Amino acid sequence: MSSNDHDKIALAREYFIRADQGRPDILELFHEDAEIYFPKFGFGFGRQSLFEMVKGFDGSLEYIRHDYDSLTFIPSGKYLVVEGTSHGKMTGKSWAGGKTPGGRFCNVFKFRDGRLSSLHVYLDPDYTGDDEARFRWGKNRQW
Amino acid sequence: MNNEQIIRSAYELAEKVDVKGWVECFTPDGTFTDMSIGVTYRGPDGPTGVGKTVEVYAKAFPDMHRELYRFFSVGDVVVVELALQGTHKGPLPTPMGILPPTGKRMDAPCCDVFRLVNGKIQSFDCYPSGTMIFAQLGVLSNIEAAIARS
Repeated sequence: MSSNDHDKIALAREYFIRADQGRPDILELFHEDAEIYFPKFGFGFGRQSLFEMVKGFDGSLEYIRHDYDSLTFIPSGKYLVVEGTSHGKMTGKSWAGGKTPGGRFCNVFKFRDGRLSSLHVYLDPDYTGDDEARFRWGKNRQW
Repeated sequence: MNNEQIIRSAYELAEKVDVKGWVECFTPDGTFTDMSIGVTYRGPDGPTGVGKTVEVYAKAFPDMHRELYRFFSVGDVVVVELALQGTHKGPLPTPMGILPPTGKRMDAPCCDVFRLVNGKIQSFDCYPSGTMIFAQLGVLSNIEAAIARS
Protein backbone atom coordinates (compact mmCIF):
# COMPACT_ATOMS: atom_id res chain seq x y z
CA MET A 1 0.00 0.00 0.00
CA SER A 2 1.48 3.37 -1.00
CA SER A 3 1.75 6.46 1.22
CA ASN A 4 -0.88 7.97 -1.04
CA ASP A 5 -3.19 5.09 -0.11
CA HIS A 6 -2.52 5.69 3.57
CA ASP A 7 -3.44 9.36 3.10
CA LYS A 8 -6.70 8.36 1.45
CA ILE A 9 -7.51 5.95 4.28
CA ALA A 10 -6.75 8.64 6.87
CA LEU A 11 -9.09 11.05 5.11
CA ALA A 12 -11.85 8.44 4.87
CA ARG A 13 -11.48 7.69 8.59
CA GLU A 14 -11.77 11.41 9.28
CA TYR A 15 -14.95 11.51 7.18
CA PHE A 16 -16.54 8.77 9.34
CA ILE A 17 -15.48 10.48 12.58
CA ARG A 18 -16.83 13.88 11.54
CA ALA A 19 -20.04 12.30 10.19
CA ASP A 20 -20.64 10.51 13.49
CA GLN A 21 -20.03 13.70 15.45
CA GLY A 22 -22.27 15.72 13.13
CA ARG A 23 -19.47 18.21 12.54
CA PRO A 24 -20.13 20.89 9.91
CA ASP A 25 -16.42 20.93 9.06
CA ILE A 26 -16.95 17.60 7.34
CA LEU A 27 -17.47 19.74 4.23
CA GLU A 28 -13.80 20.75 4.32
CA LEU A 29 -12.93 17.19 3.32
CA PHE A 30 -14.83 17.66 0.05
CA HIS A 31 -14.22 19.73 -3.05
CA GLU A 32 -16.79 22.44 -3.68
CA ASP A 33 -18.11 20.53 -6.72
CA ALA A 34 -18.20 17.11 -5.05
CA GLU A 35 -20.81 14.57 -6.09
CA ILE A 36 -22.76 12.69 -3.42
CA TYR A 37 -24.87 9.58 -3.92
CA PHE A 38 -27.02 8.09 -1.17
CA PRO A 39 -29.85 5.55 -1.72
CA LYS A 40 -33.30 7.17 -1.97
CA PHE A 41 -31.72 10.62 -1.73
CA GLY A 42 -30.20 10.03 -5.15
CA PHE A 43 -27.41 12.18 -6.56
CA GLY A 44 -26.45 15.54 -5.12
CA PHE A 45 -24.06 17.89 -6.85
CA GLY A 46 -21.93 20.26 -4.80
CA ARG A 47 -20.65 19.49 -1.30
CA GLN A 48 -23.59 21.28 0.34
CA SER A 49 -25.78 18.45 -0.92
CA LEU A 50 -24.26 16.33 1.85
CA PHE A 51 -26.22 18.48 4.32
CA GLU A 52 -29.39 18.11 2.21
CA MET A 53 -28.96 14.36 2.45
CA VAL A 54 -28.40 14.49 6.21
CA LYS A 55 -31.55 16.63 6.63
CA GLY A 56 -33.59 13.61 5.61
CA PHE A 57 -32.70 12.10 8.99
CA ASP A 58 -33.65 15.20 11.01
CA GLY A 59 -35.79 14.35 14.00
CA SER A 60 -35.35 10.61 13.64
CA LEU A 61 -31.64 9.80 13.87
CA GLU A 62 -30.57 9.83 17.51
CA TYR A 63 -27.00 8.76 16.84
CA ILE A 64 -24.82 6.79 14.43
CA ARG A 65 -21.34 5.36 14.97
CA HIS A 66 -19.34 3.69 12.26
CA ASP A 67 -17.39 0.71 13.57
CA TYR A 68 -13.91 2.13 12.93
CA ASP A 69 -11.98 -0.96 14.00
CA SER A 70 -13.63 -3.29 11.52
CA LEU A 71 -13.54 -1.15 8.39
CA THR A 72 -12.05 -2.82 5.31
CA PHE A 73 -10.16 -0.47 2.99
CA ILE A 74 -9.67 -1.27 -0.69
CA PRO A 75 -7.57 1.45 -2.38
CA SER A 76 -7.56 1.56 -6.17
CA GLY A 77 -5.95 4.51 -7.94
CA LYS A 78 -8.01 7.66 -7.35
CA TYR A 79 -10.60 5.60 -5.48
CA LEU A 80 -10.97 4.05 -2.07
CA VAL A 81 -13.69 1.50 -1.38
CA VAL A 82 -14.62 0.99 2.28
CA GLU A 83 -16.76 -1.88 3.56
CA GLY A 84 -18.01 -1.68 7.10
CA THR A 85 -20.79 -1.62 9.62
CA SER A 86 -22.39 0.98 11.79
CA HIS A 87 -24.57 0.99 14.86
CA GLY A 88 -26.94 3.59 16.16
CA LYS A 89 -30.46 4.52 17.14
CA MET A 90 -33.31 5.93 15.11
CA THR A 91 -36.76 6.86 16.43
CA GLY A 92 -36.14 4.81 19.54
CA LYS A 93 -34.99 1.70 17.69
CA SER A 94 -31.40 0.48 17.64
CA TRP A 95 -29.43 -1.18 14.89
CA ALA A 96 -26.03 -2.85 14.91
CA GLY A 97 -24.62 -3.84 11.53
CA GLY A 98 -23.63 -7.50 11.51
CA LYS A 99 -26.15 -8.31 14.24
CA THR A 100 -29.30 -6.70 12.85
CA PRO A 101 -30.27 -6.67 9.15
CA GLY A 102 -29.47 -2.94 8.74
CA GLY A 103 -26.14 -1.19 9.17
CA ARG A 104 -23.84 -2.75 6.57
CA PHE A 105 -22.41 -0.32 4.06
CA CYS A 106 -19.97 0.03 1.21
CA ASN A 107 -18.67 3.51 0.37
CA VAL A 108 -16.80 4.48 -2.79
CA PHE A 109 -14.67 7.59 -2.24
CA LYS A 110 -13.01 9.39 -5.15
CA PHE A 111 -10.08 11.73 -4.50
CA ARG A 112 -8.62 14.75 -6.26
CA ASP A 113 -5.72 16.77 -4.91
CA GLY A 114 -6.04 15.34 -1.41
CA ARG A 115 -9.76 15.95 -1.01
CA LEU A 116 -12.95 14.09 -1.89
CA SER A 117 -14.43 14.73 -5.31
CA SER A 118 -17.19 12.15 -4.95
CA LEU A 119 -18.76 9.83 -2.44
CA HIS A 120 -21.15 7.03 -3.30
CA VAL A 121 -22.77 5.31 -0.33
CA TYR A 122 -24.32 1.87 -0.84
CA LEU A 123 -26.58 0.54 1.92
CA ASP A 124 -30.21 0.16 2.78
CA PRO A 125 -31.21 3.42 4.51
CA ASP A 126 -33.93 1.57 6.35
CA TYR A 127 -31.47 1.02 9.20
CA THR A 128 -33.96 -0.28 11.71
CA GLY A 129 -36.03 -2.40 9.33
CA ASP A 130 -39.32 -0.59 9.81
CA ASP A 131 -39.57 1.14 6.42
CA GLU A 132 -39.70 4.56 8.03
CA ALA A 133 -37.00 5.50 5.52
CA ARG A 134 -39.30 5.26 2.58
CA PHE A 135 -39.78 8.91 1.81
CA ARG A 136 -37.29 10.85 3.90
CA TRP A 137 -36.60 13.26 1.07
CA GLY A 138 -40.18 13.73 -0.14
CA LYS A 139 -42.64 11.55 -2.03
CA ASN A 140 -41.92 13.01 -5.44
CA ARG A 141 -38.19 12.49 -5.40
CA GLN A 142 -36.85 10.40 -8.29
CA TRP A 143 -33.75 8.25 -7.95
CA MET B 1 -8.31 -14.24 -17.65
CA ASN B 2 -7.58 -11.68 -14.96
CA ASN B 3 -9.94 -11.21 -12.02
CA GLU B 4 -11.90 -8.39 -13.65
CA GLN B 5 -12.45 -10.54 -16.74
CA ILE B 6 -13.55 -13.46 -14.55
CA ILE B 7 -16.15 -11.27 -12.86
CA ARG B 8 -17.33 -9.75 -16.14
CA SER B 9 -17.78 -13.26 -17.43
CA ALA B 10 -19.73 -14.24 -14.28
CA TYR B 11 -22.11 -11.30 -14.83
CA GLU B 12 -22.61 -12.45 -18.44
CA LEU B 13 -23.62 -15.88 -17.18
CA ALA B 14 -26.08 -14.28 -14.74
CA GLU B 15 -27.50 -12.14 -17.56
CA LYS B 16 -28.06 -15.31 -19.64
CA VAL B 17 -29.60 -17.01 -16.58
CA ASP B 18 -27.00 -19.74 -16.89
CA VAL B 19 -27.41 -20.69 -13.24
CA LYS B 20 -25.12 -23.73 -13.54
CA GLY B 21 -22.38 -21.60 -15.11
CA TRP B 22 -22.86 -18.90 -12.48
CA VAL B 23 -22.59 -21.42 -9.65
CA GLU B 24 -19.41 -22.85 -11.20
CA CYS B 25 -17.78 -19.41 -10.88
CA PHE B 26 -17.76 -19.96 -7.09
CA THR B 27 -15.47 -22.09 -4.94
CA PRO B 28 -17.30 -25.08 -3.40
CA ASP B 29 -17.63 -23.15 -0.14
CA GLY B 30 -18.28 -19.82 -1.90
CA THR B 31 -20.87 -17.44 -0.49
CA PHE B 32 -23.21 -14.77 -1.75
CA THR B 33 -24.43 -12.30 0.89
CA ASP B 34 -27.24 -9.82 0.40
CA MET B 35 -25.79 -7.12 2.67
CA SER B 36 -29.03 -5.12 2.76
CA ILE B 37 -30.66 -7.85 4.83
CA GLY B 38 -27.65 -9.83 6.04
CA VAL B 39 -28.67 -13.12 4.40
CA THR B 40 -25.95 -15.45 3.12
CA TYR B 41 -26.42 -18.07 0.41
CA ARG B 42 -23.84 -20.83 0.08
CA GLY B 43 -23.22 -24.03 -1.81
CA PRO B 44 -24.27 -25.06 -5.29
CA ASP B 45 -27.86 -26.24 -4.80
CA GLY B 46 -31.16 -25.70 -3.09
CA PRO B 47 -33.09 -22.70 -1.82
CA THR B 48 -30.02 -21.29 -0.05
CA GLY B 49 -27.55 -21.99 -2.87
CA VAL B 50 -25.55 -19.21 -4.54
CA GLY B 51 -27.58 -19.57 -7.75
CA LYS B 52 -30.96 -19.01 -6.14
CA THR B 53 -31.12 -15.22 -6.44
CA VAL B 54 -30.15 -15.26 -10.13
CA GLU B 55 -33.00 -17.70 -10.73
CA VAL B 56 -35.51 -15.79 -8.60
CA TYR B 57 -34.75 -12.39 -10.12
CA ALA B 58 -34.82 -13.79 -13.67
CA LYS B 59 -38.36 -15.08 -13.04
CA ALA B 60 -39.53 -11.87 -11.37
CA PHE B 61 -37.79 -9.56 -13.86
CA PRO B 62 -37.60 -11.37 -17.23
CA ASP B 63 -35.64 -8.43 -18.72
CA MET B 64 -33.29 -8.32 -15.70
CA HIS B 65 -30.13 -6.42 -16.55
CA ARG B 66 -27.05 -5.52 -14.56
CA GLU B 67 -25.66 -2.25 -15.93
CA LEU B 68 -21.99 -2.29 -14.97
CA TYR B 69 -20.59 1.19 -14.40
CA ARG B 70 -17.19 0.91 -12.80
CA PHE B 71 -14.72 -1.84 -11.83
CA PHE B 72 -11.99 -1.69 -9.19
CA SER B 73 -9.63 -4.64 -9.17
CA VAL B 74 -7.07 -4.87 -6.39
CA GLY B 75 -5.26 -8.13 -5.67
CA ASP B 76 -7.90 -10.78 -5.11
CA VAL B 77 -10.72 -8.25 -4.71
CA VAL B 78 -12.97 -6.91 -7.46
CA VAL B 79 -15.49 -4.17 -6.66
CA VAL B 80 -18.22 -3.20 -9.11
CA GLU B 81 -20.57 -0.21 -9.08
CA LEU B 82 -23.67 -1.11 -11.04
CA ALA B 83 -27.42 -0.76 -11.35
CA LEU B 84 -29.99 -3.52 -11.11
CA GLN B 85 -32.60 -2.92 -13.79
CA GLY B 86 -35.70 -4.77 -14.85
CA THR B 87 -39.46 -4.83 -15.20
CA HIS B 88 -41.41 -6.69 -12.56
CA LYS B 89 -43.45 -9.17 -14.58
CA GLY B 90 -43.24 -12.33 -12.47
CA PRO B 91 -43.76 -13.41 -8.87
CA LEU B 92 -41.10 -12.09 -6.50
CA PRO B 93 -40.53 -14.05 -3.29
CA THR B 94 -39.95 -11.78 -0.29
CA PRO B 95 -39.51 -12.58 3.40
CA MET B 96 -43.17 -11.57 3.80
CA GLY B 97 -44.55 -13.70 0.99
CA ILE B 98 -44.84 -13.70 -2.80
CA LEU B 99 -45.21 -10.29 -4.40
CA PRO B 100 -47.25 -10.59 -7.60
CA PRO B 101 -46.09 -8.70 -10.71
CA THR B 102 -46.52 -4.94 -10.48
CA GLY B 103 -45.45 -4.16 -14.07
CA LYS B 104 -43.17 -1.46 -12.66
CA ARG B 105 -39.52 -0.96 -13.42
CA MET B 106 -36.62 -0.99 -10.99
CA ASP B 107 -33.37 0.83 -11.60
CA ALA B 108 -31.45 0.53 -8.38
CA PRO B 109 -27.79 1.42 -7.80
CA CYS B 110 -25.79 -1.31 -6.15
CA CYS B 111 -22.22 -2.18 -5.25
CA ASP B 112 -20.80 -5.71 -5.45
CA VAL B 113 -17.60 -6.82 -3.72
CA PHE B 114 -16.03 -10.10 -4.89
CA ARG B 115 -13.12 -11.91 -3.26
CA LEU B 116 -11.48 -14.54 -5.43
CA VAL B 117 -9.23 -17.51 -4.79
CA ASN B 118 -7.50 -19.18 -7.74
CA GLY B 119 -9.90 -17.59 -10.20
CA LYS B 120 -13.06 -18.59 -8.32
CA ILE B 121 -15.39 -16.46 -6.22
CA GLN B 122 -14.97 -17.22 -2.55
CA SER B 123 -17.30 -14.46 -1.39
CA PHE B 124 -19.66 -12.07 -3.09
CA ASP B 125 -21.02 -9.24 -0.93
CA CYS B 126 -23.88 -7.43 -2.64
CA TYR B 127 -24.97 -3.99 -1.36
CA PRO B 128 -28.37 -3.21 -2.93
CA SER B 129 -31.11 -1.18 -1.31
CA GLY B 130 -34.02 -3.56 -0.93
CA THR B 131 -36.43 -0.94 0.29
CA MET B 132 -35.50 1.30 -2.64
CA ILE B 133 -36.44 -1.49 -5.04
CA PHE B 134 -39.77 -2.01 -3.26
CA ALA B 135 -40.39 1.73 -3.41
CA GLN B 136 -39.75 1.73 -7.18
CA LEU B 137 -42.18 -1.16 -7.53
CA GLY B 138 -44.71 1.03 -5.72
CA VAL B 139 -45.31 -1.39 -2.89
CA LEU B 140 -43.13 -0.15 -0.05
CA SER B 141 -45.86 1.68 1.79
CA ASN B 142 -48.36 -1.15 1.31
CA ILE B 143 -46.31 -4.29 0.76
CA GLU B 144 -48.45 -6.41 3.06
CA ALA B 145 -51.58 -5.44 1.12
CA ALA B 146 -49.80 -6.10 -2.20
CA ILE B 147 -48.84 -9.56 -1.01
CA ALA B 148 -52.27 -10.24 0.43
CA ARG B 149 -53.80 -9.71 -3.03
CA SER B 150 -51.77 -12.62 -4.43
